[in-house]
Amino acid sequence: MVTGRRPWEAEYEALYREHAPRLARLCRLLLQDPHEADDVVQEVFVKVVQVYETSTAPIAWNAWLTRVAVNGCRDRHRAGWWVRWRRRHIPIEGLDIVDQMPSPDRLASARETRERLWHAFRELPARQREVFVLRHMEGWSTADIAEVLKLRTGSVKRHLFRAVQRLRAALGTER
Amino acid sequence: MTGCLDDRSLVMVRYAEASPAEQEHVRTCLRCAARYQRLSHDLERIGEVLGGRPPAIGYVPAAAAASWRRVLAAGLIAVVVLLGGVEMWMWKASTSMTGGQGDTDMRTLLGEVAAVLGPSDDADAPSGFGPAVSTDGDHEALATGLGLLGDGEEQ
Repeated sequence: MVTGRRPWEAEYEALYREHAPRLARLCRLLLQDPHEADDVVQEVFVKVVQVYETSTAPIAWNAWLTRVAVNGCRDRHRAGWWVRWRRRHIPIEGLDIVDQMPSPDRLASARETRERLWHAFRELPARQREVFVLRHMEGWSTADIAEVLKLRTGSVKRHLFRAVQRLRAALGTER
Repeated sequence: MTGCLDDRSLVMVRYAEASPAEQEHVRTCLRCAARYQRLSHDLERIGEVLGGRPPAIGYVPAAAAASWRRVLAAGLIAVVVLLGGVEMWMWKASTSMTGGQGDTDMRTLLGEVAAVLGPSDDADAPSGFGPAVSTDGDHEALATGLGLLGDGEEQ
């Protein structure tokens, strides 16, 4: 009976600790359903295990994980649009019960802005959303995004600009 | 002011994707510097919001909600019109059926009444409402039978 740990397990755990929260945030932004996002992250790390068991070649994990996560989100997006349409509401456990805002007026105003912005973000075309998340939220370079999403750098810049335009319009302060 | 950056170039400056000349322009042009400040502020705010939790309830802007309401109302109206049409069609069908049958029944009844109250001498006359009371003689016989005509009137 084999009871020892596999040789790559320590590295795998470190990888999970380092990247799982970032990937969860990324997937939640791309999918907007926290449960589905967590599923994608789990799938990503299942693939990591498969890679460890079949290959010893060094891998640039940051880019690899992000690419697999983005592709996983895209597959989910394509496959289950009607499920997400049915579950448009965020589950109750995901709510902020208490918000630290100074006055009811400012609270209402901030909430309205936040809702408008999230709505605009959700309404972005998938490409624009992916590019914006990777560039603005993840801090990726245009060249890296172009490589991961298989786009030209000019297309990445165009998607980024359009996403910024729409989000600023939703913020109500454009120009 | 000439040489000011367009919005796209300004966004590229913000993401360090612009040319050195464009970056230099933002440093030296007050107008573009102010626009850049606003852009940076907005992007910071957007990052803060999207970095937090999404809103509690699926936010549907008024226009989208109104369009859903319009679709729903149009659907309801279509259903009502369809049901009304079907109901009307069924009513017409039943009316035409019962109308024809009722006419036949009425004719039979009147023929029988006429036959009982004033039998015609003409044995070959067809039964039914029209022929049974179709002549003056028949009318008089019927009236006599009913006792409506007096002696004076007979003359």
